[in-house]
Amino acid sequence: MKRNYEIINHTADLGLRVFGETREELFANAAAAMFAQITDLEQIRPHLHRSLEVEAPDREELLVRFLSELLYLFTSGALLPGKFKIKRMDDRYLEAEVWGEKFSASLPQLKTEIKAVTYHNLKIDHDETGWKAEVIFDV
Amino acid sequence: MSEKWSGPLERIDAYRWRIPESFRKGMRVPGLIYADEKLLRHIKGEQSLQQVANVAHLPGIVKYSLAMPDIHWGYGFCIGGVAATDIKDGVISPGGIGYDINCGVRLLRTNLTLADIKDKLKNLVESLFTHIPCGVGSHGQLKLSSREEKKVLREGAQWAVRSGYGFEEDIDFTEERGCLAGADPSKVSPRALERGYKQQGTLGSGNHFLEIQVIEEIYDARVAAVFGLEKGAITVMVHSGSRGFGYQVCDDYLKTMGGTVQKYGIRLPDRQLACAPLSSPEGKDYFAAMACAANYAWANRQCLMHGTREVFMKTLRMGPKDLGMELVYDVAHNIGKFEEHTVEGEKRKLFVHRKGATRAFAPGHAHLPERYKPVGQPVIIPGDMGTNSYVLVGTELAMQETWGSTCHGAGRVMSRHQAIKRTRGRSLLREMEEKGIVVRSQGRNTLAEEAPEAYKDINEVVEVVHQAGLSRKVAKMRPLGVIKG
Repeated sequence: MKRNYEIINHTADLGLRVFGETREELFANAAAAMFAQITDLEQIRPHLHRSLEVEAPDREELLVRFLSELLYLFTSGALLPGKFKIKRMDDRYLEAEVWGEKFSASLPQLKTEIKAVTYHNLKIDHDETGWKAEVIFDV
Repeated sequence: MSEKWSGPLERIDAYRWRIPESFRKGMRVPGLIYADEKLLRHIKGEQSLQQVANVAHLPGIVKYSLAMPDIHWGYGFCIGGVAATDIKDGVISPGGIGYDINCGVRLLRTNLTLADIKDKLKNLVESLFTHIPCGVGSHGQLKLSSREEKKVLREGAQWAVRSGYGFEEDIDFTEERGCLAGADPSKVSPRALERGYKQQGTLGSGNHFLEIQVIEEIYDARVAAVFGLEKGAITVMVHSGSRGFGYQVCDDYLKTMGGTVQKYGIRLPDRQLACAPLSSPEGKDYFAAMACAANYAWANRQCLMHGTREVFMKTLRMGPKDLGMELVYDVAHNIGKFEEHTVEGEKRKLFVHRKGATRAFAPGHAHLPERYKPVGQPVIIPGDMGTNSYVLVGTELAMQETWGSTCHGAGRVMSRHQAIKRTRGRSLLREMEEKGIVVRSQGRNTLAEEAPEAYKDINEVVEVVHQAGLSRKVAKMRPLGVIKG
């Protein structure tokens, strides 16, 4: 399978460049790429399910808010998500479904703490080949 | 993404460089960077100078957009950035303070020497690692009720001492006496409160640490004596911040301020610089919430210090008097504060953003504890893993040039990802042990991410602020044992 994200070198923080054939896939891939930095995604069992809705004034902010929402799900102890699906979306609204499990000591060890999703150098582009986003995280 | 700097950079002297206001339309003041030629070579290779120029666009910025020698590429503001804004027509920017609000350092002195703990070092580190909660999303033994959490937010380190985690003297030796005035918990989101209630008294992960050190060198015996520092003595350094609580406060208000930029017609070159006028309701609310996070962090470092005291007393079977573990000082290096400074001979109230920069007030300043008034404020500079840390002292020149500010640490030169790649196949744990440093770490990647070569040489950074006169060297410490998240 084609790797759907790459790491951007940023001195202080962590940057991801994410790809997707559609906008929906781009957003789901961005979520998976973020959690792949936090832990080993394959080891998260999809025991629990959550639906979420996010609204924002524009497409870029929608991505930041979506990722922040997922990060909050994790840091609040509710759910460590490993699988993501965008049910429907436009540039200012999305509905997503996520699957994962409650974080516990038996889970794979955590690799990196992501403090927040930043707006710095935030970009979403698309052309005939597909969609691309760049996001920088504070770690 | 890492475009090299191609803009103008004028040499003022060996340690001062200026980005002229004419560089970009919209810059309100010039940029001023403190660095030597060697550090500058690296700085020019990333986007941090661009960020210094971006900060110069903030409405109401006074005199300069400043950068300390540990400057590196951040988001919005560079790390190592200082900017003061006018309280009447200036702005407050959450990005100029950072996600980890009041990330900072405290240094503890002891009556111990290396000989006293040499044989017990492993036990001490092990015991600290067991008793001090650390690691990604770590939770503390302290679970605060909602009423108690609000007290933490209003009272900071003073709450911790009143609750039995430390002594009254600890407060005297904490910046702002451990409590930033103006904190209002009603300006904090339920999410921030939820993230905060179970993380009080925890170290966290990343570059946060708790370290046992020995004083290797004294540069200024008179000042060192006032700070209670002697060559060969053992010190302990705590580096932590406001944990998930602070990240959430920053996140919440960046969201709010995305909208205020439009509302108040502010033009900015980077979305992460989002800000609001200090006099606006949004600006005031952010300050009140940010102060809550600052207080959360001071309480946190106070609780961590208390835990450290207990571990030392128990492991070494010593009483508090014999141990003599006292707070030298606690400094914040991600914070924004209302301060009075002299601008062209006139006293003015300004709002000073310090993001990855430390306050370094001169002798005689009213905000210093009585004991330190004759010599100036202790500035605590943590090294990166396995390298030296420093104690400096504030100067009058820093008051004149940098709003009483100096560097905060080494500053990264390599991304965390690069560091992990670069150190693949090496045992950093063994390398540390070979240097005689005992390390315990929670996270799998933490050691590699924090490898010494990922940072600038702390000795060079400190030399620049010393030579430039922003602060003077007092003592240098060497690590013996460290626990990391």
